[in-house]
Amino acid sequence: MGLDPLTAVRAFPLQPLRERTVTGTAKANQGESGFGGLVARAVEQLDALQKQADLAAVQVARGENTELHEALLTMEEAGLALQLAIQVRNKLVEAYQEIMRMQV
Amino acid sequence: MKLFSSMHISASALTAERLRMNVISNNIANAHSTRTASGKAYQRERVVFSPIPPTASGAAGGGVKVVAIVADPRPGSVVHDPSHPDADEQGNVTYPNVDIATEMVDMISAARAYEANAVALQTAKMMVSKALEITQG
Repeated sequence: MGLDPLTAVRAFPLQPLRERTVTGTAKANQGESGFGGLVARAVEQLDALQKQADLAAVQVARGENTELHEALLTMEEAGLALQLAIQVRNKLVEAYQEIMRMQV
Repeated sequence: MKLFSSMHISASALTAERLRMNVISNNIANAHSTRTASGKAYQRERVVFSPIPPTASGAAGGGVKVVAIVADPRPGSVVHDPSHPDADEQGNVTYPNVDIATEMVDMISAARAYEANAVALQTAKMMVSKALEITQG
């Protein structure tokens, strides 16, 4: 099988990142496609998890009828989701810097 | 999120074991309750666990849930004590069918099961943390 080094690149042509305005959150809710929308949705999900964890902590503190381990699990989930987001962000910044270092 | 499903399975078991612990505590607390709302002695209660079916075929089950708390129908011990307020015409009092030793064994079992599920949850968490370390280094 002959290997064409550019096959992989041709199969997935690079597309420009879609521009995202400051009011992007509202746009993302309407199912904006592309990279910007993807990031916005992920951040929203992350935010929702953090709020859930906050609520669970408050409920436990108030002594409401919640299971302690459920609250701790929600907090743990929020923490791990944040870690995941940080790793993705690190990877993105790394890729950006790699490209910026490129000699043209 | 799929990432956390194993943690949710363990959490369902923790909830179930806590309920079991509550039922055992209630049994011990009522080991001498000779009068309930129905007028009879307290009957020992037991929890019935049931698996939560998987959401999709080929996936692991969703954990465990308590489907029922049923009373133990075995008769309680009858003690002759005419001075007791709940004694019948013959002076016999029916005590609950709670055996403290059995409840203690059940309690240890519930505590250990809780511990095992907590460790399973920790391991699931550790697996997620390890996955997040893939990009590093």
